[in-house]
Amino acid sequence: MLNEEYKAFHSRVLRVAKLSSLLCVVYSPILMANYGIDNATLDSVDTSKWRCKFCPDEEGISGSVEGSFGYSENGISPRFKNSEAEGEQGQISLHGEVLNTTASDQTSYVFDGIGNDNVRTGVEYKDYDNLRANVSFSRSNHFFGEGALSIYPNSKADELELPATWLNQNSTAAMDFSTLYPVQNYQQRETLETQVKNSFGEQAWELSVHFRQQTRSGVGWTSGSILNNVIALPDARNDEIRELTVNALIPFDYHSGSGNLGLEYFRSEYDNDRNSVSWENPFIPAIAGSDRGSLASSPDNQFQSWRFFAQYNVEKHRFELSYVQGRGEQDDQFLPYTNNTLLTTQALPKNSYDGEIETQNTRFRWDYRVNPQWQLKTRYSFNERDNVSEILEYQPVSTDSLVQGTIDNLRYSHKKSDLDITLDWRWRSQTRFGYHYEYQRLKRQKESTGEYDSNALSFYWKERWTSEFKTRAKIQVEERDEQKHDTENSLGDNSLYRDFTVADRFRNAAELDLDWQYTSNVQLSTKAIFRNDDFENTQVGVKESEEKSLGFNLNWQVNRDLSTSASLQRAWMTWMMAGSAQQSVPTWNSAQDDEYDVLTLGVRRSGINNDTVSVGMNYTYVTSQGETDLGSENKYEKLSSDGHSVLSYLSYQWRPEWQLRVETLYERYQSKNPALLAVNTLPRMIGNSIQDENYSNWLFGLRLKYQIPE
Amino acid sequence: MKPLCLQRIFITCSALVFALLCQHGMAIGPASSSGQVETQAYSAAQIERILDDKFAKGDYSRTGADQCLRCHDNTSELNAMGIFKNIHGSRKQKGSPFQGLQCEACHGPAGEHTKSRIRDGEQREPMISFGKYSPVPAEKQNSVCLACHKDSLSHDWRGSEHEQADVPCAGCHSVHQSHDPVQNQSTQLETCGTCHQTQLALSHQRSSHPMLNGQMQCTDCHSPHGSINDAGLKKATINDNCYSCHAEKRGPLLWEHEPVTEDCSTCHNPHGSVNEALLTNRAPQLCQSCHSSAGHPSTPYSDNNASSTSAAFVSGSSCMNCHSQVHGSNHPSGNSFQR
Repeated sequence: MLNEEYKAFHSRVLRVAKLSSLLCVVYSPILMANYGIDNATLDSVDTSKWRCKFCPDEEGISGSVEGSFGYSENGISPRFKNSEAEGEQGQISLHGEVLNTTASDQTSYVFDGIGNDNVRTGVEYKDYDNLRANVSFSRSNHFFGEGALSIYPNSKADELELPATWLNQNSTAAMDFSTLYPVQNYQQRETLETQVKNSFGEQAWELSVHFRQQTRSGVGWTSGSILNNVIALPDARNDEIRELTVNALIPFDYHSGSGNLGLEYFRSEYDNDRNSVSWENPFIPAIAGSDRGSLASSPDNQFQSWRFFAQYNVEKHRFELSYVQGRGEQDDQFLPYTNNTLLTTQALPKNSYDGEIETQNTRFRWDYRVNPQWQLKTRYSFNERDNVSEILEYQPVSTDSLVQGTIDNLRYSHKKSDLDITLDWRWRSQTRFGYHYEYQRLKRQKESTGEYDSNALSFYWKERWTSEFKTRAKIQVEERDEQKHDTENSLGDNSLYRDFTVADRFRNAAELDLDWQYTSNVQLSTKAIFRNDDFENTQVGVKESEEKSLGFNLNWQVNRDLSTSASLQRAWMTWMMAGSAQQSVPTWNSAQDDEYDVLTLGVRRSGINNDTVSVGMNYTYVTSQGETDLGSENKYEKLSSDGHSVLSYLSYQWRPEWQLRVETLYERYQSKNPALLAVNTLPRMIGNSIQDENYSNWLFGLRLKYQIPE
Repeated sequence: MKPLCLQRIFITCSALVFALLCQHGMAIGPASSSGQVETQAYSAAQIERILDDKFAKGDYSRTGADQCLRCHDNTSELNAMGIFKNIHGSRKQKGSPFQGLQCEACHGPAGEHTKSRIRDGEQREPMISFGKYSPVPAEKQNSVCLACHKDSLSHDWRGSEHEQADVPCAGCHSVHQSHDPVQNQSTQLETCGTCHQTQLALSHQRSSHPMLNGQMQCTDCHSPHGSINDAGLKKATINDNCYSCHAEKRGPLLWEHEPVTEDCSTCHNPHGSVNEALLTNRAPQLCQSCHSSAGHPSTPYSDNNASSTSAAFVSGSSCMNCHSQVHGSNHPSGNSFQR
């Protein structure tokens, strides 16, 4: 059945392609003139007197070394969570960039240490012909929240034990939280990366090998629940991701065209050094024997893929094909159904899942420049994820309470096809029109929702009114068909229910860009975006969503020494949905209204004191609000944030080799997130006590840079 | 050091910077009448015609870069000396402009441009100029770069989104600077953000990837020179891109959550969000947009006040308080993502 559908689909692709080709009725073999050196008239060039006396001697060591000292009242940039957000601190760091050039090769060394913990360093080697190699290492920290506290003293362990003195209660109201344990909630990410690329022979065959290893360690939070008790668990993490990519590229010439053939092997491995987080229940168990819970960690997994690709450019045509076939697997040991020793469960059908997925991605692209005016672009893609793991029956144990019967494990597969056709018409040198058609088809298997077709049309108009003033307008209309339901597996068998991602949808979208060079040194650009999605037939689920944004950008190069810039971005998002507590007619509606603004102002001035001093100042203001409304009587508190940041600097070229830079930064961030929990705020729920994301901070920095004389 | 002291340093330094800026503000004058301004006096069509003629004629200068750099030196508004600090100014690098026709390899034959004297009111003959606001069409500008950059990147470029949008190579790349800002991890976002303003604004929001401090960059996920994949992504699918760093979500898991296996962007906006965890919307409504079956998923959780009975469903991680394994579970009793 599926094959027949795809045959019909492919024949439709062919028909549309043929029709589009026919539309391009004007044929001309002349391509737009180009200024490439291979197209230049070089008959009368005489370079015998070209000395290049201004050109500096390349060989030797060049670069700079820089030391800096930073002092802050409240940690450095906690807004960006890259340093500890506690207390005053001073940090010394070193930055360096040295390039060693010899007659045959170049080696560059980069070292960039930010504070005590954030480091980026690398070495790159290249000869002047074909070989390039580099190794780099970076370490960065993310610190989340301030003053996080936990009821578990052993926050870095996989087995979270309560202190011996802890007295279990039914509710948080009666618990004693006087002795909470501070948790350093952070993530450290280390990345080691190396790449070697070389080309061989006259044909310049290219071979590159890329390896990347990422290590993430630290402590995050996850939630554990036993029946209706919820506890925020400090979750020790120690993940490792290794990726290897080997790529071979063979350039070729065929007839009057040229292209590449390529083969790529990719392998990814994910390891963490544990398979569970277990915790001691701090409540008096509501279910007998439920004094301990256990969550399964993400299983280690391996994925590998082969990719074949080909590109071919010939005169007015460009062809590209990419085919990727991949296979992923994992075989972590299962945990027992439950830690509740009072429950008698069946034996597990297997000791481990032995899960396997097969993926396939095929993409084809054909661009046809019919003549200087007309261009046709077609894209086709097919993506498949096929979960081929075994389906077996498992015994449901819901939060340590036995549920009757058995249930099959869920595995999902899908196939998605996408066809894009764009017809671009350069009516004249200043004016372009475009027509875009997109067809999507999604087939889901083993799920409540079946498949959908989607058709989108868009039209754009680009006008270059003068060399200084350009506009671009785009409108889009899309209709996504009503989905087909498989009622046998439908979630709750609710016929009114529409899954957001595959619901019928009618989309209207428009974009308008203006780009204006008012004078040679003043540039103004604006961008407006509007998008409305109407889920026409949806009675329960998302009914409508809308997004609008408006942006302004101004750059003014007042003169050689003084430049200013300003930008403002404002966006509004609305999301409306209906729910049904009765599983029949909608009984409630909700609306989410979000908006944000980002304002930046910058001014830079150089050329002071005989070009030895430059100064600058940047200001950024960010504000956002999120409101959820379920009717006049049921109001959520607003989610909001406001951030100010002022950076000013003064740079002084003290000697030709020495430069001093003084920097000040002020940041203020105020956030209101009503969802954040205190430890004992809610009955039967123990949070992690991160309540306050607010901070304000002054930072003072001093940098001394030494430029190695050339 | 006391906080008050830091405040004083901050205020003093800011005042000093401001004073220096204001002082210069008094001296703000009209833009210089040299270089770029001169060529603007020609219409775009005239410039293109002149350049076409010059290029066809091939009237290159007699002394090469030496003649150009007499004017375009460190004191010029159009200072070209920075090129010697990067690969384009190298005389050793195979195929670099300075192994060949030097400045004229890119800017075209000098022709009359280097004429020593020009009369009052006379415009200096234009050269091929580069950048977003150059009067030379992007396609012609790019033909200069693509004549040398014939590797796989240039194959990708033809038909790419940026090519289609008439983006000139020099709209992003600065070849006359020692360090091209778009190739620098900490300044790339600013360059991309000049056009992609929405994405830049989102990177400032409550939750975003660590772009602002340079720990991630746009090119970690996107190929600006073009890619056969959607949205110029490096990997074949959205999820494959995400798995590069979030490999623990790849699975397969015993109990899968379908949108996770299909498309991460169903729930997350990778460029940033006003919500926590880059979520496109807030829970519980985000979850309820798909889950409306009988029982608590169909209940309107109407209040996040701590005293409310529904508070436990909307506070903290909302639905994920209990269903914390929302990306899938490998626990034999994890069918509702609680284990």
